[in-house]
Amino acid sequence: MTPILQLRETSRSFQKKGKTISAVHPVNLSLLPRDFVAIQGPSGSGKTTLLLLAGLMLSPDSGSVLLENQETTHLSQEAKTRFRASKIGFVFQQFHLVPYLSLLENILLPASFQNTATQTLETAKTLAESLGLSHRLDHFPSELSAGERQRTALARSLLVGPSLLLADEPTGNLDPASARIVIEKMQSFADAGGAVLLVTHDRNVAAAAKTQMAMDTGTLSPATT
Amino acid sequence: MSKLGLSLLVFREIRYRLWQFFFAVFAVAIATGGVVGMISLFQIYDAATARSLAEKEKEIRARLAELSESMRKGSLIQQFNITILSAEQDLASFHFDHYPNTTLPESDVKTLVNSDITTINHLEPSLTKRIRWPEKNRDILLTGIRGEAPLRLASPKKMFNPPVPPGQVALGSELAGSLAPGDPIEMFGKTYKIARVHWPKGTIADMTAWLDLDEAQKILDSPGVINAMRAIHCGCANMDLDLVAKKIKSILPDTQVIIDKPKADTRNSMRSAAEEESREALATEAASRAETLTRITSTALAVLPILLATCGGWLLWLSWFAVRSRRQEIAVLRSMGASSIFIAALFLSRAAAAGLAGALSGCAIAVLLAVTWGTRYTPGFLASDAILPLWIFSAALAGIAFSLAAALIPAIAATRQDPAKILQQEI
Repeated sequence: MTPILQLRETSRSFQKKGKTISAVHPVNLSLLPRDFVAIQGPSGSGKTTLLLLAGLMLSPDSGSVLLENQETTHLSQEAKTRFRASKIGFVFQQFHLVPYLSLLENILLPASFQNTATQTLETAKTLAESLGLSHRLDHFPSELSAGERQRTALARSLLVGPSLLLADEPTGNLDPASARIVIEKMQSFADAGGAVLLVTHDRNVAAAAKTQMAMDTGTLSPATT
Repeated sequence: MSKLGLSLLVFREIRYRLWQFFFAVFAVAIATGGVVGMISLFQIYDAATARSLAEKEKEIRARLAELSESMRKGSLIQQFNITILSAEQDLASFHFDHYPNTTLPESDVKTLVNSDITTINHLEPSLTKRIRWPEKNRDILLTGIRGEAPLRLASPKKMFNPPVPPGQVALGSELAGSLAPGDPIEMFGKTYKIARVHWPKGTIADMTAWLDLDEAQKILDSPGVINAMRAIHCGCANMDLDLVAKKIKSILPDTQVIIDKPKADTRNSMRSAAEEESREALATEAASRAETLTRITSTALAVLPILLATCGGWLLWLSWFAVRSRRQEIAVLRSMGASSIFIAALFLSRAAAAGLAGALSGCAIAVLLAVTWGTRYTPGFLASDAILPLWIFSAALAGIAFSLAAALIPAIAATRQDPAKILQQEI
């Protein structure tokens, strides 16, 4: 089976006040279809950097990032952008919905960056319905609860039919009921053949994943229970 | 709806941050309105100046024509420039008696009229003789006139010494006494109706009676003759009067020509002086208006760059502010696959919309103010002076370009923002 995501000896460091800080030590990670991997770790442990490396938002200092077996490290920014547009879905803790678009328009937004628009209004409405948002389609983000916003963000990330879903503390601002809906949707995404990489410091959320890993000071290791 | 178009995103964003957009529109409107307003005011002032100068020139021309006419009449009243007499006329006797005592055939008038002479405007044949007025038992000067003979090649002029119709008489003031036009008067055994009475001139004219030439010829028993032709030189070509005299002599060899040259020269020099004076007044007016326009231009050249720089700076700041306040949105759009061209287009389209709205409203307000100003303070103002379609179209384009120029660097900066850095900070 072809891995969806492969990190091979991938590392990343930052310069801060003249000092080099190693955010991610060389890591190896492979996500196959149906994988749901949760990475736990305290703040500043390098979880988000790892997620951004996987999402082609950051380039590694060393090693490589392969997406569906394609080496992406040396691709141009625009080529990475195209990759992201079609292969990767992002979910953030802060939702990052566009404030001036309605719920439905926010879900449809990624379709604007697709060369071949196979996504339709029907797909968006189906996603909204599956996340319990049908009654809120015309509402703006400011009119939605935190849970509704996050579910909207999740629907948006799934619209283009990505193979990889990257989620950073997706339930951090949610009540338990909303968190459960979001996790269940991610599980069903993985069950349908996608791969999910979830970053969280919530043990309960991590427990929903098939695989749990831990990250501390840039080093990735299997989680200990 | 499967895709959200750029225009929808721009429209929604404008609606969401309406005040930011309004400030940008306001900045462009002030810049564009300032430029269009200044141009409209220049145009209004310039057109008003052109009109005012044209009116003044027209006025001067009319005044000069009037002056010329009145001097021409004055010349006639005082004396003609040219008097044509018989070659046999003794000039001493002519000057002593105030009239010639020799005659010319009346056919000479016809000869001169039909000649190729073009420098004479008016020709008045006359027969004058001192005669006793039997009814009043006093000597008078009787002059027979036929009115002015129209010269074949001269341009037609208004007759200012009208003929006396047969059966009527024109009288000098001394002869008329208390009689008025329309009164009957007995002269030489016949009753004449007084056609007109001349104002006192203090000359022999006060003692003169003017009759129709045919009647005068009968009374004076001189059929078919006259004793003088008076002519006025047109003066417009500044021709030498001696040449005119020579020309007349060549046409009528049995005549002599008396020229009152100083009068003609005075008339011409007075006209020239008046014309020069008027031209100088016009030039002074034009110079004064040009100076005012220069002053306005200098002020505009000093004010406009400051205005444009201020508005440009303001727009630049607004664009930076928009980029700063939308950095999360940009990062998220980038994470979803928005290209840098799309991000730049988001900002530049918004700037173009602000530019267009600002330019149109700026032009409209500027033109409205210019029209109001023009109507109130510029005599003879025409709305077309202030409404210049080409300038308005150019200003609209310039407004868009101005807004785009101010947004360009912030838009490029937006495309170069590192979304990872922003998302790392936000997450």
